[in-house]
Amino acid sequence: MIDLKNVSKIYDNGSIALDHVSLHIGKGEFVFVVGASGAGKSTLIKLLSHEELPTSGTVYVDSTAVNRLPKSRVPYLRRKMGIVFQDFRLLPNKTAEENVAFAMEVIESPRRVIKERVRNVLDLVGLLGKADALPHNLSGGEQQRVAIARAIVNRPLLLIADEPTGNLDPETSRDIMDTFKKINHMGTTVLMVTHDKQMVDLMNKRVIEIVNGHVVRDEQKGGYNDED
Amino acid sequence: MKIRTMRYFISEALQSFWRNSFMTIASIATVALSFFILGIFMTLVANLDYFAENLESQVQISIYLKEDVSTDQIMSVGKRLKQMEDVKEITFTNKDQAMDKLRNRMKDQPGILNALEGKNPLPSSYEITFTDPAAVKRTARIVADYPEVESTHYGQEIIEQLFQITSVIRWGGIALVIFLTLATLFIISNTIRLTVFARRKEIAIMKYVGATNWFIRWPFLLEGLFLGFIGGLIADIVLFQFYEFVTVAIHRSLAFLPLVSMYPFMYRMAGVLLIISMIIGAVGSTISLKRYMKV
Repeated sequence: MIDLKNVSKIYDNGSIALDHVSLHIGKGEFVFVVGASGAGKSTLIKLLSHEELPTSGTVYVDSTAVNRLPKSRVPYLRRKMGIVFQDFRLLPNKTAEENVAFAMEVIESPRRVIKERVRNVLDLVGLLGKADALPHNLSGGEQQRVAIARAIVNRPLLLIADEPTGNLDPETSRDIMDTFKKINHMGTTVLMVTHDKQMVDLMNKRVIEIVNGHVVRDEQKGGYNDED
Repeated sequence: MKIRTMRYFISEALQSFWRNSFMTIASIATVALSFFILGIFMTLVANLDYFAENLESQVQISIYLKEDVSTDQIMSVGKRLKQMEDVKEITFTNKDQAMDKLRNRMKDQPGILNALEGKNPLPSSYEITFTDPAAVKRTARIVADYPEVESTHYGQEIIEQLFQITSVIRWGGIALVIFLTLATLFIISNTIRLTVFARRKEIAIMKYVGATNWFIRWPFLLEGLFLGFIGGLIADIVLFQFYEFVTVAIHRSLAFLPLVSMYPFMYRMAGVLLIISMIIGAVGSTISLKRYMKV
């Protein structure tokens, strides 16, 4: 699903975010990416979504070389992936249902399909009862569920989450993790960048640790720290 | 493009009209004012050109012959003139006829002619009119070199001055047009920037979920087109009223002034102005979108 071949990213200001990184993530995997702030985790996500281009090396998503993609094809690449952010990024004047539907409307899905599928994903994340609520009437956990529903409503092959539990309390975080697990079980590859040691230890999934732009650890059933 | 999508674009564009109503009105007013001034200049230049051409086509050359030319020589000059290109009409006036004309004109002051003591100082002359105004200068130059010819006269100074004035106004107009275009571009792009800024989160989300750039761009492009179109339309309407008013006023007081008629000139100009105003609207919106489309 994801292949990095000797990828480096040096920003214009000279800071090295990734230094000759190669890694492979297969279809249907659930992978945590951990590491200190500024280690290069966010850069990794930006390279996958074509928000940034690598200085050297090649990034493949679903066998497509992302960094060689013509600009006009980028939207279609992004339709293969859903992205969830730490700060939810919901539109405040749209209801939960409308926020999710928005992701389908802007890629011109047929109206009939939108209505049905939005209901399905809201059900999947356990928010069908709050479909008509505006974001500010929802708790942080509920808002993140809406964001997750929006990220998966177009049935992406890959779900990317950037610190999805960073603003949530531990109990809510566990619920959110269960949701991700459920989505992963349905076949979607999940790539999650996180600082949440407890969650990583609890989930017992593949862990990739990045330090100063290098992959220093890649364990199939790892914990947050080396010695675990 | 699907009809539903198009409806979405239009409703988005209209919404931002109401949301930023003050800036919307300000931009429309700027476009209207700029294009009105632009139109005035275009009208002015067109009319001056028309006036100059009109004058030029009416110009005739007077060829004054030397005092001592014989009848044969006069006839030979006439023959040569007849062979010139683009000549419409040639009339000959001999010394006596010229004197008669003068006498006729001076009827009220016979004293002046008495001072001539019966002598006739007036030369014989040919007057030529042309089918092509461009032939005037050319012919005048050739004829001036004939040995039988004393001098030639036509209204060249007036015409050349008129053309000079027209060219000054034209260049001044072009400078003004550039300035006004930039000002219009600036205010339209600023208006749309407000909309873009208000919707930057939406734009970012649209980009993340894979909306195409054109899908994101269209509502803003339409907003710019609308601003340009409405502003241009107002300018056109006012220009029509203005030109009609001026035409009527000039016909009443300065009836001899030739004016470019409303049709097709005004319609053509109105069309051109409208298209330019819409292009400026579209370009203005593209400029303001650029920064937020990068994600």
